[in-house]
This record gives sequence, C-alpha cells and structure tokens, in this order.
Amino acid sequence: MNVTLYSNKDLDSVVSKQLTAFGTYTCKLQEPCTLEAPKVRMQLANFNPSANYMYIDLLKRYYYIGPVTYLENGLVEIVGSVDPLMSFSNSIRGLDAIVDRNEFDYDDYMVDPDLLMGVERVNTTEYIGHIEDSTQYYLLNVAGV
Amino acid sequence: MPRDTHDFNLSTHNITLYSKTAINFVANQHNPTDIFLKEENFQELTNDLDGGMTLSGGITVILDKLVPPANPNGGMYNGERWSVDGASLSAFQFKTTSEGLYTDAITLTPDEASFFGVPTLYARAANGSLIYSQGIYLGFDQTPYTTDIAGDFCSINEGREDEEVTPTAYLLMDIPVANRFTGLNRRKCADLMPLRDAIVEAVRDVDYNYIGSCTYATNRTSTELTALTKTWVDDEYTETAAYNSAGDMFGAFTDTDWEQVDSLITAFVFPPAVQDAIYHTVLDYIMDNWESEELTPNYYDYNWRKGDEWTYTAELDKSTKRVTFTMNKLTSGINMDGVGAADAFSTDAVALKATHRVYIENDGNKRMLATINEDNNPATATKKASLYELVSNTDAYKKYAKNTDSTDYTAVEFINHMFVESEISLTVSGTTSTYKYISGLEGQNATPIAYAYAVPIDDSDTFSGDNVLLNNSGHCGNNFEFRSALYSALDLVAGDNKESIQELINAMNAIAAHSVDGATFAKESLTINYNGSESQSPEDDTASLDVGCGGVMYRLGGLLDITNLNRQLWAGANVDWNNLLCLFDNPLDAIYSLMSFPCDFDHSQAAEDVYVGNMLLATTSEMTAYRVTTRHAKIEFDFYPHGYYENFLDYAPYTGIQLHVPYYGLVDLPVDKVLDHDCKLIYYVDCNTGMARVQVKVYWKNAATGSSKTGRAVVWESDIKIGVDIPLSSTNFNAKLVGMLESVGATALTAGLALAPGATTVGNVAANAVSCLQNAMAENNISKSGSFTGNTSMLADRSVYLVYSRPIWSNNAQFNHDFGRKLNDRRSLGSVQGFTKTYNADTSSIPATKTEQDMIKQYLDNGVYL
Repeated sequence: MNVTLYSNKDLDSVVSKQLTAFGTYTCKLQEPCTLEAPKVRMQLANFNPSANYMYIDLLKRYYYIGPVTYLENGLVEIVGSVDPLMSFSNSIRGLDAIVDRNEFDYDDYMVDPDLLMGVERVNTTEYIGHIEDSTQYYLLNVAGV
Repeated sequence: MPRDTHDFNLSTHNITLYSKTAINFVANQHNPTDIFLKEENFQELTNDLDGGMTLSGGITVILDKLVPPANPNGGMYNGERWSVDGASLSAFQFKTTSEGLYTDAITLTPDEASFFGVPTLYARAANGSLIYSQGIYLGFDQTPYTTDIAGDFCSINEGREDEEVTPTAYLLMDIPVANRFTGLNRRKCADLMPLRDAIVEAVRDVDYNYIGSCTYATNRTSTELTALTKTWVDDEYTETAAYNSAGDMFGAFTDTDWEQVDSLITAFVFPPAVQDAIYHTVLDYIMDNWESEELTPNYYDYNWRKGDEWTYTAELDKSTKRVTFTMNKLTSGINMDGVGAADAFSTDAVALKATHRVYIENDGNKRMLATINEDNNPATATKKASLYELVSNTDAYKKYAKNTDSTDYTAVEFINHMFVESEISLTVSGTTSTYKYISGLEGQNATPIAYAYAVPIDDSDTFSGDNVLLNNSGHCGNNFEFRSALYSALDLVAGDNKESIQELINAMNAIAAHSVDGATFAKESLTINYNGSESQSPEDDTASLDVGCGGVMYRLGGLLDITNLNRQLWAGANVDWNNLLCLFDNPLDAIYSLMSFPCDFDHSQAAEDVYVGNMLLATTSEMTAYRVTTRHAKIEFDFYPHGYYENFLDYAPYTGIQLHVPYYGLVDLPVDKVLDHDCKLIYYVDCNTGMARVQVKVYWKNAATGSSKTGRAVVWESDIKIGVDIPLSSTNFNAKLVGMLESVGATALTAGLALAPGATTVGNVAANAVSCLQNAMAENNISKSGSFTGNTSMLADRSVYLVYSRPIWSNNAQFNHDFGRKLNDRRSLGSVQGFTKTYNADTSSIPATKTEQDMIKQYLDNGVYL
C-alpha cells in the first residue's frame, strides 16, 4: 500500500485541489482504522512537515493529514481525515442538482437577500415633457346653436 | 465515391504547389513579382529544415494533385508549379514570420477525409484565406488580387472567355461565416438539380434544436425559438438562389427549368449547423461526381481570373433589428462617400423593388454575372428586371470614375473589376423613385452595401407582405435597405407567424427611433390579421367623443380677445340685450362660461362672428373667435420606466417609481406593471367643465417576443380640474373670484378682464377670498394626493417626470466568487464552475460510504468551488 504526500493550499470546499506532491511511500494501516479516518505508519525519516494532504492508493481516497506522530526508528504515524470532495470529484460533477447559487451562472431577477445593500437610497428624476406653460387658450361657452 | 484516395495521400505522393497570390497586403499588387511566387520561392521555402514550410509574409498555397495527365498544365502557369515531397507537408506545419499562418483546420467527415487524402487538408489562414487541394476551391475570405500578367496561370483562358473552354456551369457555395471559412466552392456542374435537392434535404435534416442557440435577436422562450428556427430551416435556409446562363435569378427552387441553371448561390447567414450541412453536402456532391467530365479541376482558374467571386453576408443587429448586408468582393471596394447620394423619399405606399446586378469589368469588357431581384409584393414577385439593362449602360461606370478621387485609377484600370450595381425603385402612390448605387472596385474589402429593415407601415398589430416598407436609411450613398426581413414578411403572410409579426413591428419601432431621413410612415388602414392568443380591448379614445352641452363653444384668439369680449359686452354697438330678455331674466345667463386651458381644442380654421343666442355679440373684426368643433382634447406623454441594475433590485420593494402628474402631484406607479414597458400619461380634457380624466396606461410587451402592444391596462386614473374659470358676471363672480385670487401668478392673465357689474358684492367676495386663499396655499403641496381644484392649478409644476428611488447596491467584485448569485435551477454540476451551492443535493449515487455521501451533501449545500 502506498501513500502519496502532498501540500494543499486550497480551501476544503474546493473540489479539485491543486496539489504539490512530495513523494510516494510505502505504508501500513494501523488498527483501529476507519475508511474516513485511517491511521497509517510509514518508514520516513525525513517527513516533510509541509505535507498536509495525502492519497492512499489502496483506499482510493484523498485525506487531510491530521496528527503526525514520530516514532522510533524513523517511523511516522499519520492520522488522516477523508476529503470526500477530491476523492469523488468526478462523481460529484456527474450529479444533477438544484443549484441554489453559482458564481457565473445565475438569474439576475431571482430575489437575492444576500446581496450587499446599504440603507441609503438614490433618488433620480427622468424628465418626460411638460404641459404647455407659456400659452393659455380661452374658451367661451354661450347659448346658441 | 472517392475517385482514388490513394492518389491523394499526401504522405506518399508529390504535391504540386501553386501560388496564386500573396495575401500580404503590403505587397504591391501591381508588381507581379510581389504577388506570384515563382519556383525559386518554393525552392527556397521547401528547403526549410524544420519539416514544414516557412512562408515569409504569408501566402495562399494551393495544393493541387488533380491536374489531369492529359492537361499537365491544368490551366496553370508552369512557372508557378513546384513539386515537393509530400511527406514534408503532411503535418501542414506552415509557418510565417508572424507564426501561425494556418491555424484553423476544418474538420472533414471520414469519407471526405478519405477522399481528399488527409483530414487536415483544408486549413484556413489567419486572415481567412484558404488552402485547398484536389482542385476544389474553397475560396477566400479576403481579397486576393489578380493582375493582368501574361503567362500567368489563367492564361489558358485569357481572351477566350466566350469559347468552348469557357465553363458554362458553376457551383457557387457562398456561406459567409466570420470565424470559419468562407466557402466559395466553385465547380463546374452539369446538372445542379441533385445538388439542390441534396442541400435542401441536408438543411432540413438539421436538428433545429441545435440551431436554436446559434442566432437570432430577441428574447424568446425555447419553445418559440425552436418553432421559429424550424421555420427557418424549412424555408429560409433553403432559399438558394439559382442563376442561369443569362443571369436570371430563379426563385428559391421554384423554377423548374433547371437545365438552364448553371450556378447556385446560397447567401444567407446560416447557423453553424446549417453551414456544416450545406458544406458537407457540397463536398459529397463533388466526391460523388468527381468522375464527371464536367467536373474537371481547372475551370476555377478561369473564374478566379475573371474575378467574379464574392461573398455575401448578412448580419442581424440584435438591438436595432437592422440587417447589414456586406459584399466581400474579389477586388476591393471603394469608399462610397459621395457616390450615389441617397434620395430621400417618403412613402405612403409600398411597392418596392430592389435589383442588384453583379458585374465584372475585364479590361473594359464589362459583363454582368448575376442579377438579384427583390420585390416586396408577392403578386409581382415574378417580375424580372431586364438582365442586361445596364450592360451597355456605361454611365454607371463613368459615375464611378467621376466620383472617385482615386489618383491611381489608371494604374488599377487594367485590373479586373467587379462591382455591384444596385437599384431600388420605390413606388409611392403611383410615383416611382429610383435609387441607384454602385459598390465595388478598389478601396476597401468589405463595403456594407445595404441595410435592411422590414417595416410595416403602420404600427398596428396588422401586417401583410404588401405592407412591408424596406426603407432607405438615408445618409451616405452606400446604404439602402432590402431583403432579409422581407422574406420573413412573406412567410408571415403565408403562416400568420405571430413572432414574425412582432419582430417586424419591433423593426419598425427601431426604425422610428432612428428617425430615418426622408421617410415617413403612412397610416394606412390595415386589415387586422393578428393571430395572437392574447386578447385585448380595442384602443379607446374618449377624446373623440363629444357630448356637447347645448351651447356654442368659441375658442378666442388670445388674451386680447378677452378684453375685446368685455368691450363688446358692455360697449358693443351691435349688442341689444333686449333680444335675450324673453329667454333669461338676466341676459348674462346666456353666457355659460369663460375658461382658460393649457391646451387647445379642435376648432374652425376661420374666425367667425360670435352670437349669444340670436344676438350678434361681436363680428370677426371686433373679436377673434373660432368655433370649437371637438369639445374634448387629449394631452399625451409617452414614457418608458427603465431599470437600472437589470436585476431584481429594479423591482418593488427595492425600487419605487413615481410619476409627476401636472395638476395632481406624484403618483406611485406599480413597478412590476410598468417597468420596461411602454407607458402613456393621457389627459382627456373636457372644455365644458374644465375637468380632465387623467390616466396612466401601460402597454405590456410580449415577454417572448419583446414586442409591445400585446396588452394594455390603465394602472392609475383620476379626475383633475385643469380649466380655470374666468368670471364675467356678478352671478358667478363671487365664487370665481376665489379662483382668481388663488391664481396669483395669473394677474397679468386676468388683467384685461373688465369686472362684471355688481360692485356692491365685492366686500363679501373679499372676505371669502382670504380663507380660500389660505386653503389654496395649503393645497399647493406637491405631495398632496388628489386634484388641485382651485385656480392655483395654473401655478402648478407642469413638468412630467419620473422619480426613481433605488437602493444602492454594493456590487463587490468578489461577492460572486465568495457567495455566488441566485440561480435556483437544476444543473449538471459538471456544467457549472466556480462557487456553487446546491439545495438538498442527492448524493446517493456517489460510490462512497454513507458517511462520505452525507459529508459531500453537506459540502454542496454549504457551497463548494467546482
């Protein structure tokens, strides 16, 4: 079983993270172990402390690196927590869902209470025309035919 | 079937290169050595060691492998042939010093690729020109120059145009598209009928849903757009013009005498899907008929030399609904300023015909290639202009020479010319005006030769083909209108296509907004032929109603005539009040009212004597007065409340819109009903009472078509007193003096009044006036809701204006990235990017543990970056 160590600087909410690989190493799972939070042990005398992300090929998942424990004889024990977004990014992109909000694809006319608005208001006028004000017309109504 | 794919395998066969022209415009077109690359050019270039060709300056390379053995020269000039190793060209790595000459490969179908040897055989140069192979000429987007050079590749046909070697049939595929190739594909075709049918079939097979997103102007629902595009596919896009040897343009495949037809032109703006369909159909046709004797590969040279290629494009401006036709000529155009200045014409009838004749000028030997007739009257659409009407008319050409400042005219004189002479005749009530215009010759590449409007001559909901006005846009000589929408109009007549009606009405509105020079739109009555599903009541016009009041209404000539009236009342030589005593206790009761209005009323043209009952009060020499013929008047203002942010913030409760109604005050308008709709403020004024019924009407657009006048409603109305009473007698003086006092600003106005008799009542009047004046001042508050009933109305602000009250939106550029904007619609997450927040996403299909599925759902519902 191999683990590839990475450096990740993206937010957790980024589905496809930009990773910098440090190397791939042989490791062993340590009991107790769960799929979501595995504990692995590897012979790695020079563990790069910048590594905060890893991929375990046997489990086919990406993990955030949690507590790192340095043991005797150059052993390092790492506890990971699964990153389901990166691990299943392709499946996520295959989903159909109601998209409530999106950065680029949105409906301008959907009421959005989250838009930032101040309490100030701007008042403007738009001139249309005016009823004649320089001339009056006089009408005389009398009996007759 | 492919003729022989093996022969066309570039990797195993030599290729003959021909250079027709340099397309570097810096080159001196009159210097043959700058234009036609010689053997040594290719020699040098093909020695390039990078496995490709480096062509300095950029040239158009023609790869021709189909020079038949029987005619090795193939109509080409031997000196311009060069054989190179095909292997070195297989990658098509042509380069220029500016890099990337051939960048945009055109994808062929597998069959076509097999037929033509390599799939990347066709490539488009950065400037739009094409390379081609196997003698299939795909044409140029730019303006390849030709010069009269002895011994060039066209020499085989030089001076023998009318002999047997002259091809008698060509196929022209003119598919204008800016970012694709301009597929002018000319082949000699003995019988175009199969191709015509193939094109029609191919176009109709195009999935119109695929077309729907490609083009057109207005906001439509998908269903409507689909229906419309289907109509286009079925009708317009198969409108392929056909020409016979005499240059007659046959109708859109309606003529059956196809034996005479020797060329086809399709010349509309097609969506890419249609272009592809046509293009591949043509290629298929060529492939299937390659063995045909008529499809020898050399005739294009002759046509090339003749300079009779052109591209004919049309683009629809979405905002103005204006269609711009552009003729890209083989030879360049000229600056048309000053040539054929537009004749302004007004129109009250619509018999318009446009004829466009395409000429070539070859060393003074002018020959007309084709004529395009436009006729907006279906009943006379079969009219054909005299095809050779202008063949011998050299005035047109002289006109060009006379109006062109080109100092090097003689220098370019020997170049083959091509120009288009367009003639528009517009018959107005039996009088025909003709507008002639020439485009073409040297100068610029793509001269807009026409702008098209389709205009119903009335803005009613009615439309028929006869009522289409294709209108002159006025300025400069190179603008006139014809065509495209005309077809829509004709379609409309046949199909009652509501969308088309609205489109055309929109077009008319757009034109009206542009104040077309010299054009007026007649208000002929039109037959209602509106097939819309909406219903609306007829437009009411209460101003046309005249209830009368039993008296005679005179409109006085002016303020001075009030003085004259008083003079006649009290000192008139003709006045005998005794005549009225039998009818009235007080003779002045025969004078019902005298009022001042801010608007005029329809009245007699000539002044008339004024009678009170049967008593002559004043003659025309003593007082100017006109008899009022309509006792209602209408004051009307058009306005269009518009949005600002173009989002939901433009609506209530975020945005408020008020209308200032003179004599009334500010009126809150229902934003959701009036925003982005045509509105009117209308005063219906009654001269008997001085009252006005004031209405705000909205004319709702059809949301799908963007057209107006699909529904209307009164969204606000009120009664307002706008007539000011002017007292003449003691019986009404007491009451009306209140109004006079309120009308402080009207002092000068009423200065000429002679007070009516009854001076003893003045004291009472004055007492009442004080309190009323106070009331009037209180009422003179613009925020008051209700009519100004006092004479202070004369003091009111008579301006009509809108007041917008909008929120201030802090449109932070980072907001969308951090929070996204509201969509609330179903999407495939693979189709959206950036910040995405779902609503109750279903993650059960993801092959993960339940815990992980729940985590993903939580992420998605809180927002992720895709």
